[in-house]
Amino acid sequence: MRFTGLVRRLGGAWLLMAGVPIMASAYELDTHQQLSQAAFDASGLASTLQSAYGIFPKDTFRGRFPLFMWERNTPVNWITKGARDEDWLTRPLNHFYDPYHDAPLGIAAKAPDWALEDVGDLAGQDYSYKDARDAFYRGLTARDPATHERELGDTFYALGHIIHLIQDMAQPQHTRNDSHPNFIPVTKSWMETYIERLAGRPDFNTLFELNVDPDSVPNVTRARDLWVTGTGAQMTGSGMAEFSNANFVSAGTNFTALQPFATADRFPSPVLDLNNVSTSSFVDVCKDGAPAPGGALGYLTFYGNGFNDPVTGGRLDNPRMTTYSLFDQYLAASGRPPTFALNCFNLDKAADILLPRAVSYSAALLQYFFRGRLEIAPPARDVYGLAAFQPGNTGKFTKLRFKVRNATLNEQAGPGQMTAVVRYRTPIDPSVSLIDTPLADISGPRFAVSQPLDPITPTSSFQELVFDFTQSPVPTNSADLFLTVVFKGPLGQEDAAVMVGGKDLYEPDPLDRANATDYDCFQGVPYHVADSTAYPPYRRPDQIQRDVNGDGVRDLDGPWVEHSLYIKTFDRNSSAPTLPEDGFDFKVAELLAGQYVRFMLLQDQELYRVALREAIQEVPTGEGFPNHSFAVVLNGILNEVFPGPAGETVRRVTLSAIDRGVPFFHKIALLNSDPTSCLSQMHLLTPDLERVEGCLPVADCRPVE
Amino acid sequence: MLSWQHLTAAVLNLTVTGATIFSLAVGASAAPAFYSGAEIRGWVVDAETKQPLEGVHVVAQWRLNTGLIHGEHVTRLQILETVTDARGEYYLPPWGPKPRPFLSVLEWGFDPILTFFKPGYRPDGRDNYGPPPDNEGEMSLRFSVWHGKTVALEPFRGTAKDWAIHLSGLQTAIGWGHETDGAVRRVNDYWKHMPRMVLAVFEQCRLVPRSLSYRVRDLNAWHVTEAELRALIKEGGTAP
Repeated sequence: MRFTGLVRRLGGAWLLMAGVPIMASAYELDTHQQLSQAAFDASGLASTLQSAYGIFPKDTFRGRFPLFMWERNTPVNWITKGARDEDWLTRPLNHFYDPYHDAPLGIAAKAPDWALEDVGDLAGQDYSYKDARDAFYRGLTARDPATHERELGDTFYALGHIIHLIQDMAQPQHTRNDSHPNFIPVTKSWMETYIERLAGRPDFNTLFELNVDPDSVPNVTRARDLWVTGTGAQMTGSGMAEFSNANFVSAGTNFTALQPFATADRFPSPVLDLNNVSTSSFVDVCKDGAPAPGGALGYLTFYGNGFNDPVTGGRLDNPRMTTYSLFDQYLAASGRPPTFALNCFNLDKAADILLPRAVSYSAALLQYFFRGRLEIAPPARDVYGLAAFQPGNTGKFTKLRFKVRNATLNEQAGPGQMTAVVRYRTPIDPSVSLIDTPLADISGPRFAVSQPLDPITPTSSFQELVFDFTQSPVPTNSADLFLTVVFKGPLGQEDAAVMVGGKDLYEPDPLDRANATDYDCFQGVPYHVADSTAYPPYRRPDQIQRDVNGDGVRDLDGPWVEHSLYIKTFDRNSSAPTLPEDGFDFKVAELLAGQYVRFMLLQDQELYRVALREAIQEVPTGEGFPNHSFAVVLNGILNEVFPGPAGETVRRVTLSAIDRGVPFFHKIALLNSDPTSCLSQMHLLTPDLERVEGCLPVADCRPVE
Repeated sequence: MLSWQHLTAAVLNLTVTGATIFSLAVGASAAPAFYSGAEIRGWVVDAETKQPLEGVHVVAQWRLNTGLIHGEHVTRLQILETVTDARGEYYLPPWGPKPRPFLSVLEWGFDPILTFFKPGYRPDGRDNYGPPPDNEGEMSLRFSVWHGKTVALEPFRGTAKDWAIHLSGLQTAIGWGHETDGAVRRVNDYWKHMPRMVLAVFEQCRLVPRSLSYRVRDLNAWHVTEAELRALIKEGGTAP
C-alpha cells in the first residue's frame, strides 16, 4: 500500500520534472522585501512589540541554531529576511493556490496549507504559522536567554515566510495556477520580472502607494481567511487568493474570445465586458517609463472590470484588466491576429490594486498573530512583589501577585496554561548591590519564569493571580525589569493561540523606615539626644541641657521609639489604610532611635503612595501618640536600558545617596523637628543607622508584646 | 527514521532541481559566453530649476537572473559607481568582457539598473524599459537606454517617515546586506564596489529619528565598519 503510494507520488514527481516549466516563483525577492517592510509599518507591530513585550524596534535577536548562529537581526529585518528566504530551493512549489478549484499546483501543498500547517504537518516546512507560534511560546517562556532570543528571532523569521505566502496570492498567476517557468521567454512571468525591476528602484514604495492606511488592514477571525474564505461557488472574494483569482486575468489564463460575457478557460470570472473598453493614448507611459505604442503601430485596446474592495466593500475599477491587441506582453508585433495579452499598462493597474492589498493583508497576518492580548494590573494590595531585604541585597522575589484579563478584542479564551516571566539584568560583579552602586555594569537580559497555572481561563474581567517563582526567583539585586504574562490555549477560532500581556515594572525598590530621632537639630547644630547622659530629660532647674539657648524653654526633643509599625503601599486613587486589618505589607514590633527597617517591593507606578501606622513615644517624657498614621508619596526606582537614536545603549538610572552609612533611594524618616538647618551635616552623623528585621508578610509576625 | 513522505520530498527536490538545471541549461544555451557593458554618460538636474546637480551618487548594477526554480535577480555581475560633477554630468566607463556565470543570464531591464541619490532629493532609479531588442537574449554587449539622457531628481519635501522609507527603498535597491542567492548563502560584498554611495546613505540613515530608525539598516548588515568604508574610499575603491 505504501509502496503504491510512493510510486504514485514519485510518478507525480517525474511528471513534474517533465513539466519543469510549471515551476515558478511569485514576486521576486526585492519585491517581497519592500512589501514586507511596508506590512511591518502598517501593522503597527513596532509599538505592539514595545508595549506588550518590552521589545524595541532596534533590539536584535539571534536566529535559531545552526542556520543563523552568528546572525543578529531586528524584528523587521528577520521578517524581511524570512520573506526573501521563502523562495529558497523548492519551497516555491507550494506557493500556488487556486481557490476556485481548491487546488495546489501539481502535487505540491496548497499555499495556505503550507503557510499555516493548520490541517496537518508538512514535510520540509519549518516556518509555518504553527511553527512561528510554537517558537513564540517557547521563546517567551524560556529561562535561558540564548533560547529566548533564538526562538523569538525564529518567530519573526517564520512570520516573514508566512506573509510571503500571502503576498504571492496577490499575483494572479499563483491563484489561477498559471505556471510561468523562468528561463523560457514566451512563458516566463512578465509581471514578476517587471515588478522586481521596479522594486529595485528606491521609489518603489511611492510608485505603488505601499504606505497603506492602517484602516485598510482587514480584521479576520481566522488566519486562513486572509488566503481564502470559500471555494468554488462559495468564494466570497475576501481572501487574497479569491480576490486575485476572481478579478484578474493572468498571462496564461486570459480571455480567448472577443464576445460578451466571455471568460477564461477553467474560471468563471472575471467576465469580459465589451462595454468597459478604452484605448491607450500616445502620452501613456508605464511606471517603468515605457511609452504606449501609437501612430502606425496602432493603439492598445483595453477591457476593464469592476469589483468590490475586499476590505472596505467599496467599488474598485480596473479599466485595464486586459489588452486586446496585435501586441503581446513585450509590446512587440507578434504577426498574429489580435489577441488578449497583458502588457505593462495592465500590470501597472493590477499592481496598483494588488500590491497595497498584499501589504495590508500581510499586516493583517502580523496583527492577527500578535492579537492575543492580556492586560496586567496591580493587585488589590498594589505591589506585585514583596521580599525581605537580605544583607548584600541577595534577597529574592519568589511570588508575584497581579491581576490579568483577556484584552483581546471580541475573542473569548478557553482553558489553557498561563506563565509569568520577568526579564531582568543583574550586576556583572555579583558582589555589587545596585542599591549601593546603581551605575554598576549590568548583564544582558535574564529571565525568571513562574510555574505555569494550568488550567486557567482568562476572562474579560480581571482575575487576581499569584505566580510561583520559587524555582526561578527574581533577584532583588536586579535592574531593567519587564513583566510578561503568557497564555497558550484556545482563543476565538484558534486552538492553541498565544496571548501576551506586558508591563514595564519599576526596579526592585528598597523601602526604608528610619528612626532618626537620636539626633535633634537646633539652629544649625545637630545634638545627639540619644545620649541620655549628655541630654537627660528636661527638668528645671538642674537638668536644663536641652535648653540650648538658655531662654527657659526646652529646645531639644527625643529620642522616640516606634511601636507596632505597619507599612503598606496603596493605590493613589484609594484612601490610605489605617487599621492593622487593612492588610499591611510589613510590620516591625519596635524601632528604636538610630535604627531602620527595610523591605523590597515591586510596583509599576512612577509615583506611589505608602501608608504608615504606628504608636510613637518620646523616651524622655513617656509622652506619645498611640495612633500615628500618615501617608507619603515616593518615586519609582529606575535602572533601565533602552536603545538610543543611533542604536546605542542608553541607561536611565535613579541614583542613591548615603545617609548615616546607609545607601538608600528614599527613606521615610522619623525626625525630632525640622532638620532643614542641619541638612548638610545630618547624613554624616555617627553612629551609622542600624538595620533591624521586620515581618514580611505581616501574618508571620508574632503578636506585639 | 526517514519517513516515506520525507523520502518523497527529498526525491522530489532532487528531481526538480535536476530538471531545473536541465531547463536552465537549455534556456540559457543561446546566451553569450561573455558580457560587456557599454559606457554610460548622462546628466542629472533639479526637476524644478532644471539646474545641474553636482554630487549626485550614481550606481549602475547589472543584475543576473540566477534563479534555479524561480527568477532571482540578486547577483550583480557588475557594479560601477560615480558622482556627478559641477555640470551634473556622470560617466561610467565600459567594462568587460566578463564570462557569463553558469546558469545565469543578464536580462533587459536589469542590464543595468541605475540608482541616483543626493541628500535632499528623492532617490530615483532608471532601467531599460519597453520592448527589448529582438536579439536581446543573445546580446553580449549590454547598454543603457539612459546613455546620453538627462535624469531629473525631485527635491524632497516629505516627512521624516517618508525619508526613512526612501532610504529603506534605496538600501533595497543597492542590496544592502542582502544574502547571495544559491543553496549556500552569505552576505554579499557589494559595498566594496560602491563605497561612496554606501557611505552617503549610511550618513543619512544616522539622521533618521529614533522612532523610525528600525526602518533602515546600519553597516552591521554588511559586516563593515564606517572606518573600513572610509579607508576604501581613500584608496579609491575596489576595482570591480
